[in-house]
Amino acid sequence: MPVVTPYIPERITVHLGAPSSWAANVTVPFADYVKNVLSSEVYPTWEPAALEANALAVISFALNRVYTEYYRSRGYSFQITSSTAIDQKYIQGRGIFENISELVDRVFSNYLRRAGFVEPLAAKFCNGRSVTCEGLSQWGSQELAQAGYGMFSILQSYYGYDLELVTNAPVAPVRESYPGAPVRRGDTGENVVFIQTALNRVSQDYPAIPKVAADGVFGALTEAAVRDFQKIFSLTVDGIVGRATWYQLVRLYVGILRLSELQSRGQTFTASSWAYPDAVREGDTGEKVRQLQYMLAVLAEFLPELPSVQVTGRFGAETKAAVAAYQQLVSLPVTGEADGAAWDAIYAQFEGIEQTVFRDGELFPDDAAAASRLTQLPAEAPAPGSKDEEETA
Amino acid sequence: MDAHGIVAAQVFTSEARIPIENAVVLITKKLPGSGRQLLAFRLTDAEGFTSPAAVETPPDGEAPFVTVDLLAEKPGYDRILVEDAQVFPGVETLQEFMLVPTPELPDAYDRTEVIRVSAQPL
Repeated sequence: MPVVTPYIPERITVHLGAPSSWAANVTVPFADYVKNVLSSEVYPTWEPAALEANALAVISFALNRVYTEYYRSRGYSFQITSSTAIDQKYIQGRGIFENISELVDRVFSNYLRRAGFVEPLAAKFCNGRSVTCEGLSQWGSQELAQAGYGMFSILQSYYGYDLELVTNAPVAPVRESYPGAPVRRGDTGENVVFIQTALNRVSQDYPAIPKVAADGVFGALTEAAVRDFQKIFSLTVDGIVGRATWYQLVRLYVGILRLSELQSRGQTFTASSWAYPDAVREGDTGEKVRQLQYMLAVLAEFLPELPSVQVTGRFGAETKAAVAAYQQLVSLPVTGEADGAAWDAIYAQFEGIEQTVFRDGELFPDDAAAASRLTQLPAEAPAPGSKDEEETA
Repeated sequence: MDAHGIVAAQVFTSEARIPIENAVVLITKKLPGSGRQLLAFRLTDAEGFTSPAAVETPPDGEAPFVTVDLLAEKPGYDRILVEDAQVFPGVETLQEFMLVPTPELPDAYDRTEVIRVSAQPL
């Protein structure tokens, strides 16, 4: 399988609303997410044991969502929502409490699981007064803590005695499990092992799918099983495991998630005219695309709603998504294409950052300011009225 | 002495948490009716932190916390207002403000992001 061990994601993407509703996605460090949720769910004046029990429930529930690719396998790009009905309460930008912050920094790489199971416990909880459920009762945990119960005894009394506490789980960047290219006959390796294992598991409920050996070789038998699987789940019957088939398998099997990592450093950018060229759209290449990606990459550092962009000079799906996200943010028509209005809006926001953060120089040391594009401009500035040599291809 | 909680703030910009010095942080409390009472006024230091401010909390048996409004501003950045931030007795509330630089030629003069903190679903 691509990833066997659950891991603590470095960052988690939260949808600030119900899954299908329009709402922003924000990507935050995992520990900050847990601090925010715990501050939003319980009172910081509760007993330390109750707070720690609730922290572990929050962590395990979030890790379960990440591990099972719960939302990704349903076609969403986030890992969890802020809707209290389905997930846990999260308020972007709220303050956190100092004792909760210290507690979470201590325990955020721990989680709960059932003995013998790999996946983090889907540790459901509710307040225990106006809403009751099978999982942990928040008020109940406080009452048990006041009665002298320890953190783990509280958890056991709600989640059962076969509970295990995993400590110091590895921290890793989040990636999606889909290998990026269709897996087909003739392929070998761990992705094929995952497909075969998942098919075998699914075939327990769908006996029409033949069992295959999990040997990591995509042969005729595996292809036949994939075709049967696709037939049953109304996918294109081609025997090739593309994105749709992969995530249908994951959704059924409980897969493992790794979303694309959020990073946007490495700006190697040479100055040239920043005037709006002509519509820059998907498929374009060249310097204007690099400029657009550079501006988006800088903006993504400041605006949590924007996905990060790599400066490649090729306008691909990633750049299109970032442009669309920005258009949505500033209420422009969402086309994913940098037309005049979008370019000017992006440029104006970028220029505001450049003005306040870089140019004033009060926030960056001198050598960093020297590396910013504005100090390079005078030497390379194009003559007034001259056209860029590298127009958009 | 009545019970009190502590409010402190850090003001910074970007994911890299570049601290903003000399940003203004106001702590106010809504009065019954429409007025506001100024509880504290703070400037941030070189690390973007304010010195902590004590806020009186309700006596035992009443509400478990008191709510205050926190406003952070600095020229060149959009303002952020956090409404109904919670202060618990004996607990320090740390409010982080990630200010976003104002675009050049902003479309409005009053650019304030409002964050409303709703109470715990308990």
